Amino acid sequence: MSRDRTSRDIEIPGKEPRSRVRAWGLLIFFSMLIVAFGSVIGPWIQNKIPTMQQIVQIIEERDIDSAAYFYTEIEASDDGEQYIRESIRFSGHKDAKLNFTFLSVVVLSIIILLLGYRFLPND
Amino acid sequence: MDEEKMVKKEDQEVVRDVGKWEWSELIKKEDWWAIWLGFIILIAGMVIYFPHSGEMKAKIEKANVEWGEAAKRTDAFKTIAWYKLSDAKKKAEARKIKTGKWLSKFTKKPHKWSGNPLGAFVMGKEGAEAKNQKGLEKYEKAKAAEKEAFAAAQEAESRAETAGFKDESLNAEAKSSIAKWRDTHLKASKAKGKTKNKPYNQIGYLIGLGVFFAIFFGIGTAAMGRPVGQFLVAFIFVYLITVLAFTASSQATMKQYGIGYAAWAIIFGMLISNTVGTPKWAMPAVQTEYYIKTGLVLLGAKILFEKIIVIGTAGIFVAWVVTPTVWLITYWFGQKIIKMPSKRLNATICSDMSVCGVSAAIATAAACKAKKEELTLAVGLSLVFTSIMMIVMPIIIKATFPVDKQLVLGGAWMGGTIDATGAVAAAGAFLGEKALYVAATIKMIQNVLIGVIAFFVALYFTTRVEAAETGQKVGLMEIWYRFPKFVLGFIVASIVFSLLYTSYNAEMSGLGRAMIDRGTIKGMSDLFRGWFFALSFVSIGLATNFRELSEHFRGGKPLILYVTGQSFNLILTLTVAYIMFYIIFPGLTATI
Repeated sequence: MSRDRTSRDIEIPGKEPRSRVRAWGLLIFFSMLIVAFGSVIGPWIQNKIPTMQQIVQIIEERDIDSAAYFYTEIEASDDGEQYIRESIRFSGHKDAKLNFTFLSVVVLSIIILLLGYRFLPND
Repeated sequence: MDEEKMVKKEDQEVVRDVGKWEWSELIKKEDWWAIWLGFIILIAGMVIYFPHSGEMKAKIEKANVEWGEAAKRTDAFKTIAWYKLSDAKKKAEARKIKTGKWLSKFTKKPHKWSGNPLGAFVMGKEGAEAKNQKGLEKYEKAKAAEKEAFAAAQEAESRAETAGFKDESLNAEAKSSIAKWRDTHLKASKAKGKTKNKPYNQIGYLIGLGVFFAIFFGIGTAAMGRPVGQFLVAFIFVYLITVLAFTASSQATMKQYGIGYAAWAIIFGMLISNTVGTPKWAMPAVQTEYYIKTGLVLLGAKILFEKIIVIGTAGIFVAWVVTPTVWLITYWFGQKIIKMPSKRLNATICSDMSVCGVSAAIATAAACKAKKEELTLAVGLSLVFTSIMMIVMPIIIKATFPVDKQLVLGGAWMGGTIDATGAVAAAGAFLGEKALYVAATIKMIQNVLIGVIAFFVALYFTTRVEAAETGQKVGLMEIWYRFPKFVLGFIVASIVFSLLYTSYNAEMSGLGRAMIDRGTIKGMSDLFRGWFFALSFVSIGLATNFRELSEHFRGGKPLILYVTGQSFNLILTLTVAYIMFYIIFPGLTATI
């Protein structure tokens, strides 16, 4: 059952108009919920899960941005790349070069995608 | 009525293209403006950093002269000199020049804070000193531990050297001592960073950056014939929500949970649009496509193809054969078995689950012209499962894997399956330094695959799916008309920067990293890309309503798709990683 519209209502596409007070009330309530998560709930959960606590400690100690989305956003990628690149370079290992086997794998990857392009359903 | 429906449909898409070509599109269409704006930033980066290649070369050369010979004494284990050489080379970064430092300050996101949100913007001298004092005790402790570990490592290495590096047990002892020193060294250097806090006031810079962005995107808006005045006013609102999203993601607990700016941008946007409603005057700056495509062109510059060689054939097999296999089988499963109502949602979920989370979801959604709600849903699923996997996977590996396989196999498994790079690093670090490095490297190689996947998705949807939907046969010109043009900018940026990176490295090993990775990319494109993605996610949130979002989730099909695909991904990645690292290339594994 929908209530009668008043001039104080807020219109949101795809939703019933709602009163301005209720709309702002909801916004404040959810905002407080976020604040509560950051200051009370989140830390409480961390204390309850020992592994989570350990991971958090490591994140803090090593200054890892666990929210990073791409490899250039974290130092560990750069450190890891340098470490592995130099390790392999000094050992002179032949399996980490642009050789026939390596290129075959790149070609195999492209073939897999081409097969997908050819045989995936249109519908 | 039909026209009205069409307009509504177009409004919901992340990107949309009209099937015709005119030369005026070069200045009238967002796709092209994304390319122009993206390349303006990239070219500016080149102009700023490239003249400094001589200085970077000199730094690398100095490191080689100082440590190069000593580092080459043996390949039995990584000596102290080997690490010293590596550390010295790492200091060569073009972004550390004066202009680079200023750019970093100017584009800086709100600082990390815990109790008081003001700490994200302002910190006085007293606050900085208090923080430094707090960090000093830990640093002194870490420094003492490092000193002790270094002395032990020197002694162990010297014993191994006296035996001509031929005594296995002495070599093993030295290797273990050096590893302990590296661990303490890392802790000490991070602890040192926490004693170097300086006072800051970010407010002025944030205002300046907002003005810069308004003008930057305003130019394209004006050229595209849109009311620029309205855009500029509306942009203030969108920018403020973006700053708020970065502020939330900088809060200590949120950072620890890995809840990044993308999640907060969507949450705050949706919270506003679904409670008090997005103000009509703010709508001209709710331009998801415009911001996202510009960000994607910048992302293209980071897709450096030489990176895929880093860990050899084993690494590329795990990242480049398993990932497309999982993508295709999951997509097929979604279409044929669970009958996903939207092919575009299916493709976007497949990418974020199999490639690398949010960034892959953005690129795929844009390439297949998915709806805003579909991208939101895919990103949401990825964020939830990333948080779970970041905690659960290291526990499983520690409990079930043989000790000698935990670091490399565990690292490769996590790197190939956990969606977000940051979470991969956190989970890897939990197991140990080597696991962190392997996991982060596999994820980096997988990151490079985004470009290839986005291109195939754009091609498949343009030539196959859209042709089936419209019932028209697609000719070459039609493909050109419909193909999302910004993908071309994305690919060109990737090719150009890959070539530059390789040519710098050919000139001198490590110069590519100094000039491209830690120069134009980290010192320019990365500084802006995060902001552009955040602006687009705020726009998505401001234009999304819960009811439409829940319709896409009906029957829980997206969740079934994600869980099934990820389960298959976990099994296949583990199997292939084991075969590659322990059966086919055990020598390579021993080197790491």
